[in-house]
Amino acid sequence: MATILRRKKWGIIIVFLSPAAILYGVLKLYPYVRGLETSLYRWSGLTTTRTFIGLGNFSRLFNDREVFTYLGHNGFMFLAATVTMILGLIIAAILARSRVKGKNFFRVVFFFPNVMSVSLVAALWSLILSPNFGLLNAFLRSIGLDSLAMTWLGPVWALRSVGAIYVWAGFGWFMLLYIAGIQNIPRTLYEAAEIDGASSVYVFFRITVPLIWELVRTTFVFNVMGALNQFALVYVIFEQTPNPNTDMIANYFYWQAFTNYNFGYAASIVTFTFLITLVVTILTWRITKSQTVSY
Amino acid sequence: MASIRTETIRRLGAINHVTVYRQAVLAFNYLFLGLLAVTVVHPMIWLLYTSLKTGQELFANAWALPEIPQWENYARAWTRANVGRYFFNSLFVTTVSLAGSLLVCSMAGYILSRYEFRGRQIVFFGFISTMMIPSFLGLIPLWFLIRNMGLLGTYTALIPVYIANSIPFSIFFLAAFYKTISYELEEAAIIDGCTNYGVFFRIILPLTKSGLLTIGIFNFLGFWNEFTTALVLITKDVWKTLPLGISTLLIESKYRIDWGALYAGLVIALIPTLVVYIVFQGKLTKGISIGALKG
Repeated sequence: MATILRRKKWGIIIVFLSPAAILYGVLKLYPYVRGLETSLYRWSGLTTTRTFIGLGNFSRLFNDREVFTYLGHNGFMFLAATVTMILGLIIAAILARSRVKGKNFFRVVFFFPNVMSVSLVAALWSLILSPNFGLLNAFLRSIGLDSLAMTWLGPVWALRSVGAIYVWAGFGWFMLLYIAGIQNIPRTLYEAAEIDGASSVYVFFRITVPLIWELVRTTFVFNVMGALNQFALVYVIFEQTPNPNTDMIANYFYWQAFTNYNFGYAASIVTFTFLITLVVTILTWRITKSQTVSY
Repeated sequence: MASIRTETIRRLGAINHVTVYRQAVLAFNYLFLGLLAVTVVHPMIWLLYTSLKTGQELFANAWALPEIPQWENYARAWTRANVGRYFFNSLFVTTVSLAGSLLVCSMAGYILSRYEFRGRQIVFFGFISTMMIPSFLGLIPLWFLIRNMGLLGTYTALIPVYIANSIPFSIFFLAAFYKTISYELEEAAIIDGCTNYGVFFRIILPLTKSGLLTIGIFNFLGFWNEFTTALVLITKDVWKTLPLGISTLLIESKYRIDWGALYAGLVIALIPTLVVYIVFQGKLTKGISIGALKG
């Protein structure tokens, strides 16, 4: 960074940084730190007294069957997120390189679900998947596939439906990022492959994917975070009521905090989730490491 | 781009298994993309025409078009179902937060990217380091903080919270943008007697319009669609933002048995997002793509 002539710089530095620093410190840093601290207390939000119980919340957490059931649901969402990623990758590969017409149209259409609020996506699909009046079953029945018209939000299918909705709403984002990445690959590589008679599948796996691998790794890490942060989709679809078939760890946190007012325990759930996120993120980053391809 | 190989083959008049393969891949691409586009577009269309049905038509056949468009559904959604109220709440919160966020983050980002001072790196890192932490961690302490300030229940507290939420990414994005401006411009202005503040407001800011627009669109959508924090901080129905309102609508339609208003309400919620998206999708997708490659 160039050192340039500045008059009395500290005045403007303080003035310009203060608003951001104050808002950020009070409304983000302080709550995060307090959030971690709260997990060490037993505290019913209805009173102002709280008792320090050290790691008591955590031992309760490890024996709580529900915690692991719900984390399992998050795990399923991680799979769904991975599918989303792969779908985005395939579409990006097609849109960035194929000779289909109307690439812009597809790109614009595919990214739109990402821009809708979770709440709207949840409400829309709640109506589409309605067993008797929804679009999906009406369609299946109209083409004679009555036997495939399930209760999509019932105990058996609920989690898978939520996963599918996640894919629908999420693939556009990955698609956009990967298109940008693929467009950065020099054309010459592809032309050389064509002259050698490579099929598009071969080109995809041997040229496209390795060359955007760093980008794919980064988005994979985002997957982890996205999967562990799931809350609103399930909350809204299942009408703001606990649903043991689909609740995520964050939903459990919410019920503990704002329905049961077990603030201390709820905070420990979040702290635990945060730690898991850190560990899994670091692990996935390590596992996906591959030698940088240079060309 | 016609491939060299297929062009040669075409001119020689030979049908080659390679050309057939390429035709097949192209056909598959169109089919695949087309089907996917249908899954995105058709639910919206269905939502639209279902919102114009009477209650009876809704239950009779989900697939059919309405006989007479029931525009009253929209009036009822707007007034009786409170969607108009939710809409204006969201509009107010979003625009005020956006203005605040642009101001606060442009000032802070400017200092952090173009001024040299001790501790600059630490402050910058401090601002962006929490990008990865789930917001749930601070939710309980935040709830307490807002409650102690007496602001719980209304949307007023959302504004500073949303601004604070936008700080990490906005500063990250804007700092990169600011770095692209030449320092000579600033130096020349200072030599000519311009104050530090003058340099920012009269020289730098006009040059960063494009970056501000991009991050502005991004933040607009983020604030408009935000769900979880609003859920925790707003308690009375009359203060709810649109995402919360949608969730409420989904539940209440059961009791009111007014499904037409539910669908209409969802369309009302969909339209602003759709309009903003169509107008700004170019800038938005470009901003995301660029952000991806830098990160």
